[in-house]
Amino acid sequence: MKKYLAIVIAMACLLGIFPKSSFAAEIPALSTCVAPTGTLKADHNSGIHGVPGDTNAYSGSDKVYTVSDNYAMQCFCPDSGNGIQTDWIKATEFTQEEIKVYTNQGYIYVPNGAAWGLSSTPYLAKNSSYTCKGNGGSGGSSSSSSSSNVGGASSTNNSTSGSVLGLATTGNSLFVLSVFIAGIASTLTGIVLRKKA
Amino acid sequence: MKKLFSSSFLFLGAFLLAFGFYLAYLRYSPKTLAFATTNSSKQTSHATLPQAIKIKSANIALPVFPSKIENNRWETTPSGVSFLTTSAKPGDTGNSVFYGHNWSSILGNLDKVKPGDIIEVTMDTGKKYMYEVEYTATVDPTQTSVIESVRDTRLTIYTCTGFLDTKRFVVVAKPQK
Repeated sequence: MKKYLAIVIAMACLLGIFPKSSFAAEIPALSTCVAPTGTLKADHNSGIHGVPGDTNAYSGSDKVYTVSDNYAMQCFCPDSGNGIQTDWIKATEFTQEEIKVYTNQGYIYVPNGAAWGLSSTPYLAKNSSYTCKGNGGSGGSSSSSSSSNVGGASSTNNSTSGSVLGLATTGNSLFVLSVFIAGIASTLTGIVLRKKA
Repeated sequence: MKKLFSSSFLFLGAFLLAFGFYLAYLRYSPKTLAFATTNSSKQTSHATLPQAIKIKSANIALPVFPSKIENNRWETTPSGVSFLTTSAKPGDTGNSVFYGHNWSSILGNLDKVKPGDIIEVTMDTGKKYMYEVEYTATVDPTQTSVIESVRDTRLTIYTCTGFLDTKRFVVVAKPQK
């Protein structure tokens, strides 16, 4: 019994460690389109915009923020309100291994940022979804002022309104209780089978 | 053969119990709702405080409790929504930050909120402030800009989401015009 309890405790501890695992190349804390930081570099209230990793063209408003020397954030808001945030990270000094860490995390390698109105250097881009007021003016911006021609962003698999991750199972007490009951039932079955063996 | 079955059931049982304990820990841990430490943790005292929050479109109508961050621990309540007293008072310029558990009795429906929905905040004086949702997004707890002070007037309300509560579902609203 003591051995069994030790196994349960050890497993619980291991589960606690999993979410904290980190990567060799740390991906920086990113900004978000719902509360942008940095300097507004481009602001288009409407227009046709391209998407890294997507051959389609999209219509809507587009804002680009320079968050740091190596990081720009793009907030694209189409009329449908299914907004797309693209994070652009300058990859000039990245090794192939570091680039691989990013691409494994869903980043797209863009060999030359010039085509997207950025510097003529390699970039890593990643799209994520958010929802916005899709009437051609995300966030109630003022008149359009543009200093860049950066394309819009999109995602290939986040196209429905409010398409977000489901709320975590930890918020559901019934689920937690079910896991406990299943665990107890399985343990008791194991004990009974062992006694019969 | 029976021994193999027995060991398998015992192993599965141990795993499920451990997983259950871990889920229970996540559900009640004060860390669950926290964002990474920010610089905007200056304590302030508001003469009036929000008392209730209502989001009709998501069937949310909850009491509001003042909360603060102490030693990187975010105060939470199992009875309603927390209002971060270090943030701006609703109606004032700045970012008014509200948060709560993703339990079905609290903000479990927050992910149903969409841009254009109305959020009503009632102060303890009885005064009401109406906000219109501008954005919603799922962010990492390291994306602290969502709770930082801002130059405009806005309300930010969030809860946990994602695998094992590792993300935050954020709703940003601006005063209704």
